[in-house]
Amino acid sequence: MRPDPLSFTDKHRKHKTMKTRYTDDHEWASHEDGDIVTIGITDYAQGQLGDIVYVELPDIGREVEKGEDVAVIESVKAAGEVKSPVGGVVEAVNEELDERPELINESAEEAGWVCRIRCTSNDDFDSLMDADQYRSLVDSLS
Amino acid sequence: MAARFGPEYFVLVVNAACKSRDLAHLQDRLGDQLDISMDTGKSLLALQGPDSAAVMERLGQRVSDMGFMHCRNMAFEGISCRVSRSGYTGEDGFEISVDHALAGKLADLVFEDERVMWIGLGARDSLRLEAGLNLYGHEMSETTTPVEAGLLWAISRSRRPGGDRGGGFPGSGRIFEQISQAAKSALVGLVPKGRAPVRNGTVIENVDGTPVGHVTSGGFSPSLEHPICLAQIDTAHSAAGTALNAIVRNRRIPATVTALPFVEHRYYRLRPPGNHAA
Repeated sequence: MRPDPLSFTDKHRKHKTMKTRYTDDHEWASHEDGDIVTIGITDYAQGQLGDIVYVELPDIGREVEKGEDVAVIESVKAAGEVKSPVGGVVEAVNEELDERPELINESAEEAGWVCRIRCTSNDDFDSLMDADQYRSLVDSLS
Repeated sequence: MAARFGPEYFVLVVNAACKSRDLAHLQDRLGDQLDISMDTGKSLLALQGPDSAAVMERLGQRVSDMGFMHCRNMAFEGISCRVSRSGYTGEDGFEISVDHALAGKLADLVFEDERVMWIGLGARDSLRLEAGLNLYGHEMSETTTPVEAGLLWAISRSRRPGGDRGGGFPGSGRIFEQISQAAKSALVGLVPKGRAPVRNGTVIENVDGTPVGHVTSGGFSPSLEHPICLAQIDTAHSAAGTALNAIVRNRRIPATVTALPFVEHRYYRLRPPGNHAA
């Protein structure tokens, strides 16, 4: 049987184009496919916040500008705003964080994602730091 | 904190942020009757928690006859210390005052016990909040009275209205007025609904939407696994069980006035409370 050409192409494209960028505010943004970007806070940021106890998620459909507060992450020690690395519309939120906010401590850059944003322009994403630049920033802080 | 080490020898531990003003005040009021000096050569180690007495015993100190707030001089392998059975965690514990130069050596000695760990100020702060204890700059300032700050217990019966030596201390006029007519506001505990911490400065409204006070300290209680706050609330709304709202990022979070402390104190007392001679 011939493999379905469409699903093959989709998988291939996703693999080829998936990339992660960072902000100097310690958010990450992952461009998965089309104009959807998944965002969260970095492992370094969760370490600085300590035990996370509550996440205030945005409403789906909300419009956000690049740099605007899109969520609030509260730890025992402090409250940290998540600034959206890209401008667009909130497409999905990680509802698992309502029950298990500590997911961000356990897996900040994967299971602990915060929300998905449909970008208005790719320029916002392209202007973010790449992994090497972000690593040097974190190294300079410790 | 004040300790009496001799008939006319007192040692005070004062808030570090207030030490200059406190010293000036003492000099001004008592300087002609007492020699007052500031000892800046001491470090303070706080050993806190349910196992702290057992750690002290292993270090060769007999502490079973030492009650909450008792002070005494001790030596740990030749290191002279002044120790009080106190702390700011609501737990049993000891505060050990030692010369700066010997503090590291003493810490090493205490850490030989595997039950001992360092904690940071964040943990200290959640413990003191669970215990309902005031923090200067939050629950108290130079303009807060002991009545408003929930510290009336610190004024003995003999110094209160009608007591043998009633009145005559700084602020006694205003304090006595508040004792007889009730203060305008009171320090209370608040438990917000849900998991969002409600922090210092948050406005508190009654159910009609009128502001009735503000949060002075707030955070998430690791022991209770829900948020807790200390708040200064108008007396008319300060009874335990009163339903109020906390305004967090433009949203109303229901919050209930709650008796303090949030977590019961576990101080070590030699006699049951109420058995003390007057």
